[in-house]
Amino acid sequence: MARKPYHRVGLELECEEEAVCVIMCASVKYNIRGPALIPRMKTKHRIYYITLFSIVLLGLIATGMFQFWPHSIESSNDWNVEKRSVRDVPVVRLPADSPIPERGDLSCRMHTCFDVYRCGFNPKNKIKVYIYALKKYVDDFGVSVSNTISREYNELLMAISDSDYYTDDINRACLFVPSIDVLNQNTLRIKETAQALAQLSRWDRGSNHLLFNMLPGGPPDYNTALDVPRDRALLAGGGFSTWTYRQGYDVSIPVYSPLSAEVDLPEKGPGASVVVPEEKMSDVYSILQSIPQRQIEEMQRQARWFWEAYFQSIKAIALATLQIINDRIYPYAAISYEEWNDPPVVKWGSVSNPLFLPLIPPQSQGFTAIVLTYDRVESLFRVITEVSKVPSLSKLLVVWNNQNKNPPEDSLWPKIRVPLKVVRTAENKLSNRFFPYDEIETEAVLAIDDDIIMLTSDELQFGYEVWREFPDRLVGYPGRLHLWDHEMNKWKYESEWTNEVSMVLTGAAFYHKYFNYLYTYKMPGDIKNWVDAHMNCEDIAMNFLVANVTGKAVIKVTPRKKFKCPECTAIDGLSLDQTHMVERSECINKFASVFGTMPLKVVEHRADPVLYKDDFPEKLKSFPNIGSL
Amino acid sequence: MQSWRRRKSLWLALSASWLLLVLLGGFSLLRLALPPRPQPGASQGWPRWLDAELLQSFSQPRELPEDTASPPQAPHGGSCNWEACFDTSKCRGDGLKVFVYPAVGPISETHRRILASIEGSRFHTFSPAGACLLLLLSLDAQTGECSSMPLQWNRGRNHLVLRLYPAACPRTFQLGQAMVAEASPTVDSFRPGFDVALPFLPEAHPLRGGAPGQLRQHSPQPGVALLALEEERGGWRTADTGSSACPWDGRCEQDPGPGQTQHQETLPNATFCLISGHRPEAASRFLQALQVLAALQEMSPARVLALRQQTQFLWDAYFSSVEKVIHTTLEVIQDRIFGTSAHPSLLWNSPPGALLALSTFSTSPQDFPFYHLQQGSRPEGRFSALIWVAPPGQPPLKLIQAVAGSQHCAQILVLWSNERPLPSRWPETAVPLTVIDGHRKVSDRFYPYSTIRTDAILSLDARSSLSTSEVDFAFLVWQSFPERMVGFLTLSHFWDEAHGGWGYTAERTNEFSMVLTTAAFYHRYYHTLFTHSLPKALRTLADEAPTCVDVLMNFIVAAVTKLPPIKVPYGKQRQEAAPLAPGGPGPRSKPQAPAPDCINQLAAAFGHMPLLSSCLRLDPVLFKDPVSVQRKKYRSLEKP
Repeated sequence: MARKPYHRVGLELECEEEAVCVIMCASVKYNIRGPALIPRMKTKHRIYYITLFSIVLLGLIATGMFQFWPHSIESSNDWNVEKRSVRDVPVVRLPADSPIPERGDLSCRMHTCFDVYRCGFNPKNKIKVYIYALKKYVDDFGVSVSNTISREYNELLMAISDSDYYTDDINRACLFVPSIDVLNQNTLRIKETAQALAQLSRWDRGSNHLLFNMLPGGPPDYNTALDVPRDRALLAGGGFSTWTYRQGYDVSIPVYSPLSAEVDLPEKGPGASVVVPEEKMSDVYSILQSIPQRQIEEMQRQARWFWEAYFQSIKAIALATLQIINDRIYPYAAISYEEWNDPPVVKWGSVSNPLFLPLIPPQSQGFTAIVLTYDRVESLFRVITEVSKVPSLSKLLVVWNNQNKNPPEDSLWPKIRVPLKVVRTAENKLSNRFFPYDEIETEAVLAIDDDIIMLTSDELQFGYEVWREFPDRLVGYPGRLHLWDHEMNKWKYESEWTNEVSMVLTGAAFYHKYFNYLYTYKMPGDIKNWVDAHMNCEDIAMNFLVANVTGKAVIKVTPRKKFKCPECTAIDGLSLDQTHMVERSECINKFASVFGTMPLKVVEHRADPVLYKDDFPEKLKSFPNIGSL
Repeated sequence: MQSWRRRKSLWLALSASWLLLVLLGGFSLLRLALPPRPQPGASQGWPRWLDAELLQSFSQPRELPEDTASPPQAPHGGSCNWEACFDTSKCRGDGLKVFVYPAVGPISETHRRILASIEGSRFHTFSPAGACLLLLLSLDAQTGECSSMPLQWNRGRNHLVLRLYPAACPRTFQLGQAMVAEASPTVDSFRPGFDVALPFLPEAHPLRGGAPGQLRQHSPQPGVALLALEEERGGWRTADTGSSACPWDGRCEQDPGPGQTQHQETLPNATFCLISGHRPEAASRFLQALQVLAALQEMSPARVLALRQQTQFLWDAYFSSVEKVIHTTLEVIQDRIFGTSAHPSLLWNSPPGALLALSTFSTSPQDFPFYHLQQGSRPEGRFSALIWVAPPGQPPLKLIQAVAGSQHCAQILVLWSNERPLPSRWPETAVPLTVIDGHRKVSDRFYPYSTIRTDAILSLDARSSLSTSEVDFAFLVWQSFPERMVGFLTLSHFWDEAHGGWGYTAERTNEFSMVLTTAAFYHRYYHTLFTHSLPKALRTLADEAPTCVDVLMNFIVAAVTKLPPIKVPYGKQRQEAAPLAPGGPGPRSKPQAPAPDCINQLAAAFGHMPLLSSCLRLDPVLFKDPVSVQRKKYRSLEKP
């Protein structure tokens, strides 16, 4: 199924090649056979035919060129766009007595002056922006009100028009951008421009209208905000002062200089600027000197990134303004402070742990054991019986991964003190083990294979207690290590007795159920499908996922035991074992390349009960039965 | 005949070519001649003007302002902002210094305790002249006394009027340039960036400590209602996914019906809770709720998880007690004064919060033990050993050798804290050794000495005995948990039913909640917290009862991290060696019983019991495993 569209693309390509081929053959045919054919005719005819052929050939070549030449001049986009001159736009006459909006309403806030219900139609938490058509406004005497449009404003509107925010349906828009250019107050007539705004079809006191202004006045006395009465219209402006800026309503943007493409950073960018109160101007030198070098370097990096991300071009300014307004309208979908402010370098190296709150879950919550099984019923029943002895077990979930066979009848299952549920899967996939089943009511999940019968109740209960102290980590029993193979120049999987661990097998491991959601829906790249297809390495994938999202190492609990696991039960001797190790190593290399990094963390510790192997009466120990075989 | 045939085939070829030409070329020509009309549904977009290149720029170069900074203007109509109404020149030196006007006349118990709390804090100063902020507590009118204009009022300049409860007093004087910190201020009177908005605190809100949030688990319980909403006359109603059939446009015709909602008296268990904002009418609130529901359903589990934890963190860090609310207010004002050296936003918005991450320590998040993951940084790979030599004052030669033998040791500091003269000779070590002549106070041990240059401190008592291998392993563990204390010997606390108070023991138990600071790794930031953040009374307590200092350090770290410390194996149970336990030499099994009341005094001062118990010890991976010793990296830890 998946290959079908692929195939069709291939056919299309073939067709095109064939067409090219026809033309090529025609010319080849002429070159090879033409001379042999033509000399036998009369000279008059010959010239006639040659001319005719040449014309046809030239025509064909020209057509072919036209067909297959990359259409650089007219991009497909342009077929939809009007091609007109700015001078040809319709002229609108503004009568001298046409209404003028009120002055900017300084008390405006988003909840008072902005009608958010207009944004209700917009899917995906994205505002829709409409741009009024360009018109030329003249007064009663035919004198124009302002320059029709500046180069920068044209660029700005083009950027909005090309963005996801744009809509040409005025009825579905929630934000309106007039094409009346008020970037520079000095080039326009204030009263008439205001009248022009007021006659816009959806003006409605300026609600949901956005104006852009860079120069509110000229030298020597700059104003701090546009003087054009604009009532409730939002203003994205440069050079606001704290008195004219309607906090949470207007948007402060930089003044763009068309000459040098330099900007003045408008707002205090966190970590990018030093704000010195005026009365401390005399101390500026000492204040600046007191800033440590590390902080200065961080500020430089931050400032540079701000500039590149938000202020570098008119387009960046336009889109940043819309993003700010979008965040106010859909605050629950807003991009976070860190997303606005952190340069990508920090984002790359840093992690934001989804379970960041230090919180030790109450013991009473217990855990849900999830046993993945195919058809080893006898062994499964033993595991169920053993696990049911663990005091903190609150539910047992059997994931029946065999579609050809029904699970045993209800009466045959072991009778245990906690609810036991069987989930049947639609397909025999390893990822079924990590599906976020509705039946999981506890935060803690114990993933356990249907053949892990050697773990004692003390060991499992202790593992749960350790998980409570490290609820954001994988807490498991058999530990594994990844190593860099210098000879092969790639990662290698290691299951020997090492002093270090970087993974735990999920054949027996506790973890937070949120990671099931991440594994199922947020696994990077094709890893989930790849694991299902190869029927291997789901545990390594889970280790990668958790380490990548939390930045933390696993916790291996209790001493090493002989485990029944693929690499321990090499019945056929070394060869099977080695194949297995090679496969596991391949998994690590594959995942590291998909994640784009090696997220696994190596540690040299494991968790044991406080009094483990201490000279202390065994019967007084909470977890005496640890490490026994 | 042949030529005819040949001619015929030629003609055929020619006409075929012509046909091909017409077919191929025709289409192209047609396309050139008739540009297709935009389809009705297709987006037309902003036109590409033919003369776009010729458009003028919006400004001429000389028009651009060279400097956009404009001088602060006089406040309009009594409005104030920070630059115009606060004089930061009075705030030199380190930190915000606050003078509190003493109460006039009889005051309520709450009032008295709040005053005492501010006076005990690190912000307080007794001199109004030396203060940068003068605080007027406008509390309650229960006693019938309303505050009058204070002496140093000066039109309210550099004053903060703190109004925790709605004032019953009429305003007897103009607030003028004073900042107001009050509960739920109105939008009209609130001056953003100047006044401080406080949450409305119930009468019974605890003064200090405060109950931790109700959140018991990170993710929402399955089956819990999505939204709880406040009703007009008190009480709550829950709404769930089934009850949102309303479009976003504000119109909602269907009555949700009683089946989908339930009325309750107390806040029900729900994932989200809607409280009234600007429209108090119940009817519109329900509509809002349904719209909110629609938005909430779209929210990803990741975001729900983050929001839950953040509310919990904010509550715990800033709002759970009256003291925290007041300190948060002062910290906000201090940040305004500090400007460049204010808390970066990360410190406000992630645990442990700005009250516990002092900006006077550093404004670089990497310098703290809490933010390495967010910053993508790691704690430093070296530590400083700080060896405290108390009476009788034997130079700890063996200990110095063992510690200096660690590859991670950067320096050794000896804190000479006894009557005997300083020895003139010290052992030759590979790392620098510095001797500090101390004041013989226990609290000296936790002073943030500028000579300590590493993130990690190995705090030692001269009588402690450790091997290099133990030091190496413990330090590696600390690097994984830089915000916690990593120690060798432990104490555990318990609730003593008989005495109705807390007690603690050094007996070996299955759980522990404290590690002894006579041999422990921890971040140097805790020295700053100990010295500059603790109320002075607690440091004095530690000096008077030296065994209490271990408990105090563990209280501080636990209150910050909300996690237990970490224990690592202590090689041999050295019977003959000097014990690590406090209180001098003696058999390990009988440590000197520490002053029992210390822990209760501390619990009272902290407002709650911050200690948490742990049942695990971190051992080397192959610790006591049945495998060849040759394979083991830390084999000396296993020697009996």
